[in-house]
Amino acid sequence: MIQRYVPVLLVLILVAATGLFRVKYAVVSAEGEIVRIEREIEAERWRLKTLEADWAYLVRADRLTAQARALDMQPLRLSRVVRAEQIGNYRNLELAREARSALLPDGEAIEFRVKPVATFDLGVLESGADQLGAEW
Amino acid sequence: MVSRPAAGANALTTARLRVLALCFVLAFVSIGIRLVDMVGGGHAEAALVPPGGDDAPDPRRADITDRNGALLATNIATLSVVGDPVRMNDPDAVATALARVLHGVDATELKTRFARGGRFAWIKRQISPVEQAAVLDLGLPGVEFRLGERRVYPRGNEVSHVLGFVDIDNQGLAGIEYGLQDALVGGSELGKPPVRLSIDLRIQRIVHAATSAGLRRFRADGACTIVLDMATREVVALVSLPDFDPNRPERASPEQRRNRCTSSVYELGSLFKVVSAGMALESGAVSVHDRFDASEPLQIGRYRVRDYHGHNRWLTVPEVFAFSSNIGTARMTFAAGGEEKQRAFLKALGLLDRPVLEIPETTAPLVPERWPDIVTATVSYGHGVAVSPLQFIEAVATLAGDGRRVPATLLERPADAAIDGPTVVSAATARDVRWLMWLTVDRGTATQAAVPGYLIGGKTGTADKPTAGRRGYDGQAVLSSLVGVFPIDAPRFAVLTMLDEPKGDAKTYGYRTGGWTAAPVVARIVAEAGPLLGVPRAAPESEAALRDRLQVTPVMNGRTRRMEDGFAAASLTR
Repeated sequence: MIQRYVPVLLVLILVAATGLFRVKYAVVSAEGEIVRIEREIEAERWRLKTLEADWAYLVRADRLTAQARALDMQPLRLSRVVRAEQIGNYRNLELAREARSALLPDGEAIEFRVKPVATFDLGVLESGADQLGAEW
Repeated sequence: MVSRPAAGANALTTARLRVLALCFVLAFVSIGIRLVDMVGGGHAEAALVPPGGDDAPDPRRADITDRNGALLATNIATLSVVGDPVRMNDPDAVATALARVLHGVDATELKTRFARGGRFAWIKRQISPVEQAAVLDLGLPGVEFRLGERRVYPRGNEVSHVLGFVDIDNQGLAGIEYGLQDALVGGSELGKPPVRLSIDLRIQRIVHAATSAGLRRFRADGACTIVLDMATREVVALVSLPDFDPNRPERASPEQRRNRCTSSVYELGSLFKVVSAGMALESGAVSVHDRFDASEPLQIGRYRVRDYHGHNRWLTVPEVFAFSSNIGTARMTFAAGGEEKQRAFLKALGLLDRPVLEIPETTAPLVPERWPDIVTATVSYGHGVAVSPLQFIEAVATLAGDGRRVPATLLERPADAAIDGPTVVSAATARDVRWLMWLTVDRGTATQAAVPGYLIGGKTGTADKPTAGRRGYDGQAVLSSLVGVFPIDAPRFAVLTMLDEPKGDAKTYGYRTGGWTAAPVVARIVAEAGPLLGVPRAAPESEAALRDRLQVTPVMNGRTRRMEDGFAAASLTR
């Protein structure tokens, strides 16, 4: 009776052994991969830190100031910040939002809107404020 | 038929078979053990550790950022060159070769280090990539690289005194680096989360530029500017000049390392009148409508108290404050209760104790041992008690803010953090103090601190500096300062600028007082930082409300005079 099972058992042993070794090698290579990736992450992390430090160094004030000066930029000043209502002709913008209906002489009913004035009057800004601190 | 072997031979065969079987079993078991061993885990690589390497301090440090996450301090990987003299063919030749490619390495010194014995010697720490390539090109046996971490401060001088610096082992020696050493050091594989400071780098830059410009223009020995958030008491900017590059602390002189904002104490002069006014108004004995006799110097014992901007007449409390009258302030302090009240009030504001801050550079104030009347008088206008600028701006934030005393911090306060402290002055007193400060900028000694569009309050100070090593004051050297609060109708920020020994120029007609030197610095800071911080333009009704208070006609000693008129007359005689 036993002799009938011997080949089957042999095959099973072979399959199990092969499977075990395959799993083993898969584990070994996965571990290698993990180590490799971990090292890569570590290296990337250092690269990132270096780049961040680089960036922080590149945007330091004296360099930005020199660049802003070269581009003829102006510092932010209160005189350049206004509320929407302070802008001249702001009321026109409000008016432009509303449609008005009218009846033409020939009996045709139409809707029209006020066309907003394209130029803004910035006369509300005090002059002289721009000179603040500019002398030194 | 198979012949059966003899019984003796049979037993021998069985024994041999058993021995053979045992050998096979042992062989397979050892193979199995080896298999398990190999599957079980990788082999750790032996790290190159210097002797006593385990005792070496942990070089890992968390990053430091400003309140918006802008990087202020970080670690970058650097290589160090180490040597194993035993593995070198000719240590002396190696030393000579290395000294040629590594900047700052001395061949003779290296030879003695190699000759000392042992299998580990530092050759050079924290080398540059160019140097690394040069060492690799030499291809010397027994010379290796060690990965290390190096602290870098990419912003250079901008935040130097707050950050402090570290030694070559990345251990904090000053500033936040020292104060928060335990919180910063070490960490997991990916490091600790960054430490967020209360500093706003954008504002810090503006303050740094403005203060440096002021220092240069008035040829001052030193300067300090602090910007404090009055609601949360976070230090938004802190600049002490001269400053240093924390990347190279060894190049900084002690004078550069000195944090004038926190570790130096000064007799701040008239700035203290903010405290005296707050004390007088809080006592209830003095109101903003009272008048004090400043017509002649105040005689106390053998001392005489005089005024710098003399008016030689009776002054209302707003005039006393806005024109910075020493006589008036001293009289006001005596009217409010004198010595006992003054000491209690200074104590409550924390001006008599060492301040608590996250950096080690703090100093206890200098307080007189005895407190006779003359001391009460001089302290009322800022001489006799020496405090650090940071300590003083804390007091101003209390007096002109919500009246509560909350210690300042250099770390970001979480949005939900409870900000609480003992109430020192009432809301009404704080409102009066703000009004007095606004008057000072509007028509007093601090008119140069005005910024169009904003309502600013301020107080100037010009203190005589004590003579080094002797009693008394140096008549030549002064300390000019201005403390400002803006916007004065809804206070958000307090600014203090102090210039140490400024010299007047032609544009200031030779004046070097706080109103001429520190005030323009504060004005520039407010003008540039205000829009950035989203402080809106002052509402016209707020200004009208401040001006309306001047129209009150106080009745004193049977004399009536509108406060506004008093100021007008004063301006003419000034």
